[in-house]
Amino acid sequence: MPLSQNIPSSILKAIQSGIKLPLATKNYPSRGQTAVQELYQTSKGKFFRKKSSIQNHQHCQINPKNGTLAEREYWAYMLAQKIGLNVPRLWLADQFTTVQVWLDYPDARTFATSQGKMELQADNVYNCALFDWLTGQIDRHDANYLYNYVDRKVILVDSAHSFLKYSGSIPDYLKYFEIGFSKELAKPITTLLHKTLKGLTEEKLNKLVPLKEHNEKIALKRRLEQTSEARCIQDIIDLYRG
Amino acid sequence: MSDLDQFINALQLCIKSEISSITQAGNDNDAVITFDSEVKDDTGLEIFEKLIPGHWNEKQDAYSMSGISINFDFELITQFLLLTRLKADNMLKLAELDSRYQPYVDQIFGKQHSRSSEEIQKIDQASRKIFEKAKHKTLTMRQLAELTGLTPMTLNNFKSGKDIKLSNLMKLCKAVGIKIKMES
Repeated sequence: MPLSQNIPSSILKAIQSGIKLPLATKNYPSRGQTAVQELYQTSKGKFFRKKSSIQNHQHCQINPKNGTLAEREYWAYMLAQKIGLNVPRLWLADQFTTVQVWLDYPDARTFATSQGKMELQADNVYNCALFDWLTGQIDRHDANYLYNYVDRKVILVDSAHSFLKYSGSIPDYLKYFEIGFSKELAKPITTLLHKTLKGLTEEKLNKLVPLKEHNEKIALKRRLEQTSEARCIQDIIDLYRG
Repeated sequence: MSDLDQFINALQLCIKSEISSITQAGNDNDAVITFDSEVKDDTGLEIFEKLIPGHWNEKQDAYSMSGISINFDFELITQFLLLTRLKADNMLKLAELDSRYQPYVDQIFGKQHSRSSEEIQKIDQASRKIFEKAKHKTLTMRQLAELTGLTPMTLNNFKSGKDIKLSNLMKLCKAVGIKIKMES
């Protein structure tokens, strides 16, 4: 199992001496698509290793030269860190591989299937939606976010399909919020994350997200301007609906 | 995948020790979980033992459970494991959300500890409880003010034990994740 020096040696050692855990694939057909997905139980907690192949990139119509899925996920993580969005710690092991901390919360699919309604908080949904719009996330289905039902918060995971020149469909949690919490859609929200986003310059953004393809750079710049202007959750939904 | 396989996969997500197999006996009524090596220092397994009582062999590498098909709803236990990963906060909250899981929580924590409700009679008690929870969630006063829309002065007054409007108290409780319950 080759892992990069980008990962702290203590984590690396823990993973190498850890045990591989079964990964649920029932009801998760997309899990079979990524070349390698391994979950490790270690003395330092659980870690998830994900490696994509050239075929995975072809399937997603992504040219690896413009940024691999792993690199895009790492850039998304760095951006999340910068603006203060709570996402699991992630390392770029090599151009095609990421290793991330695995959190012990169910994904939204597991929770909603078993329990029905998710209680969501507007400020958390707003922050996640700002991030997903900014990063041009095109794959935010119900297994790509966790639900911390203790704090009633969405935690975004698996943000590899990001920073493309086109926009994706509305994230699953946003559709859910639109239906279940309609009274809160137009309520103005102020969050630290939004303030940080507004203070983010194009130069800083380009350092965090070193895109190579011109149209992707333009799209990111435009999305940064749009997120700066969003005042409520409805504004972000309107961006998705064009 | 059988129910038992799903149960074992879910259990493996909750514990540190590596499961090597599960075997059934006695008309599928008994089961033995075998581990790769001697089990020690595994908090998840200690909690699991309370959930499904059984006994260990001498080598401490096999756990036997009796009467499983009669006494346990494996589908529900599997869901419980998947949703909570046997983490205390998750288990207590899940039982609060869904009473089907309350017996499991009672079994693990004991009935007297299973609900985290507390009777609040004075303002300073409420204040202490809310700011302790905010601290636990690493929320600063500024973040709390932003989350609730309350002014820092209102927050500071409440923190020092001064009275607060019910609507403001409700905003604060929502922000830190405390549920208010009225009983008559």
